[in-house]
Amino acid sequence: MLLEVEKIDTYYGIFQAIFQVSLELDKGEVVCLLGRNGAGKTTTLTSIIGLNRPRSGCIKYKGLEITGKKPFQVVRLGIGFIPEDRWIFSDLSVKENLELGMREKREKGRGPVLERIYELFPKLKLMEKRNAGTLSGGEQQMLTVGRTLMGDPEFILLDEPTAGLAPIIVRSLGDQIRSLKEEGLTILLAEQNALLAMDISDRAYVIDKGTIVYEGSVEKLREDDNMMRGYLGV
Amino acid sequence: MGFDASMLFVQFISGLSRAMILFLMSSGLTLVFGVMGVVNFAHGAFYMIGAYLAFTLTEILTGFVGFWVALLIAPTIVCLIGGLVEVLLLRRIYEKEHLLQILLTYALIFVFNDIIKMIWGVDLRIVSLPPALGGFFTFFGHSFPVYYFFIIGVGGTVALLLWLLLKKTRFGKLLRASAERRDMVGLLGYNVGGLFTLVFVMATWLGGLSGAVIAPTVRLSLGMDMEIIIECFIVVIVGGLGNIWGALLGALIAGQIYAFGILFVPKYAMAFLFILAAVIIIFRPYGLLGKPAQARG
Ligand SMILES: Nc1ncnc2c1ncn2[C@@H]1O[C@H](COP(=O)(O)OP(=O)(O)OP(=O)(O)O)[C@@H](O)[C@H]1O
Ligand SMILES: [Mg+2]
Repeated sequence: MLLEVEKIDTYYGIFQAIFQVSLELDKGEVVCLLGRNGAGKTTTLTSIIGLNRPRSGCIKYKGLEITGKKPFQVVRLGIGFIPEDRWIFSDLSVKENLELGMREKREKGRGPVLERIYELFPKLKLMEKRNAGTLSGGEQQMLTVGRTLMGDPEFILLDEPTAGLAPIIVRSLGDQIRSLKEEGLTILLAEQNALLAMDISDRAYVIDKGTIVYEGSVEKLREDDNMMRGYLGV
Repeated sequence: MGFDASMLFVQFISGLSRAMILFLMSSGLTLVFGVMGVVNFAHGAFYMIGAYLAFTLTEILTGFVGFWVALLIAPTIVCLIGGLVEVLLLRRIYEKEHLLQILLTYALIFVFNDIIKMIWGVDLRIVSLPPALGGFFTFFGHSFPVYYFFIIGVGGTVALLLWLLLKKTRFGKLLRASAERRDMVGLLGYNVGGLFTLVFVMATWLGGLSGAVIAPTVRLSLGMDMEIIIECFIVVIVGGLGNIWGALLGALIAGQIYAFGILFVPKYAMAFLFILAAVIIIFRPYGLLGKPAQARG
């Protein structure tokens, strides 16, 4: 297993947001974490990356315990985190945002990284000199994804990439995530947009009120009316 | 009493040199706030240490090299002290409430004042200028201290270097990114803690340099930190706290208001600065070049 999360409990002050959450990902898998508003998706992802420290439980990446490590230490192991609020650097240009995503000049690897990002998101190349603060929501989302990819992660945590975007942009973002999957990237995708996420994913988890209530294949989830209507509102 | 053009020019130059000192100081204050989110009340203490170190160094190394060596070494020692303060103290309180930061940096003022009292005593100290900088230019029948132009030169050079650093270097871009979203900078794999140490070292270096530069123009005394820090707070309020170019603009405005205020109504020169700050707070609370407060991470 690439990632093993075992029974983590995470709190905000005295409020417990997730309960005994366990999940696993294998290399190359795309797995979605579905759930309604406030179900605990973001908290699960931030617990993995180290933004919120679980009070109990254990998180392992490539067999190495990462529970309680700082985000920058976890990221350096090859995990990328793409926040739902995007957190672009609005004062810097699009290109500068992307360049900061690459911590060190890499000689090796899969060729010129910036060019690959521009291939995936051609629109970003057209606006590389623009101030990132002037981008639309969809463009900012591409920039956020591109910036994290600049760090050449093997595994990314992708938090609600489609939130607040127009349907046509959601569709093209879906295609872009699929092409990342084809490149062999492992992805944990948190989404409220269950239909889109299930379309892209190999497996699914459903979280509700901080507890995992479903774990298994996307096909079985589709047939589970109870789940689909009760927890995912589809 | 009539004022001719050349008289006004004299005041303008003196205001400009005052502005440059204010900029050197305020840039450090605003850098620390902008990137780290800490209001460093002790910034003036670093300035005072810089000035006293310049005094001692020019005493030890007499002759014309003394001052130049002091200009290099004093800020360096000050920034090492700054680095220690960040690593040993400040670092523990970033996550805590703002009140604790204020208490800590405020307490440092007293600590450093006592340390200075122990080392240098309470007597007034005077730093002498090297001959090359001690003279006067004569211009249209008025004489200007050469040292005014030296201060303006140092201020201009630092402004240019800061501009290059922030606009052109990767480190500078990281600083700007951290000012906006420091947790995202960490999420890209950068050690933000290390970055903060460097920022604090840079800021205290600027404070130490300001102290060393101003030393030959004033009598060094305990409390000189408070005098300047109040003006610096006005400068950053006017320019926009956290914005380096705001600090430059604020300093240029404050320097001129002070210089011309002294010319026309000597008693109230300082009062004009406070009025300016009040007007800005009422009509543009985030300062001339500042942005409305945004969520910082
Ligand atoms: N910073 C915080 N402080 C206190 N409570 C929080 C905080 N962040 C989230 N919560 C609470 O924790 C619970 C889980 O929130 P979380 O953000 O993980 O949900 P989510 O599934 O990502 O929701 P969304 O789809 O709206 O992004 C919610 O009840 C939320 O109100
Ligand atoms: Mg969320």
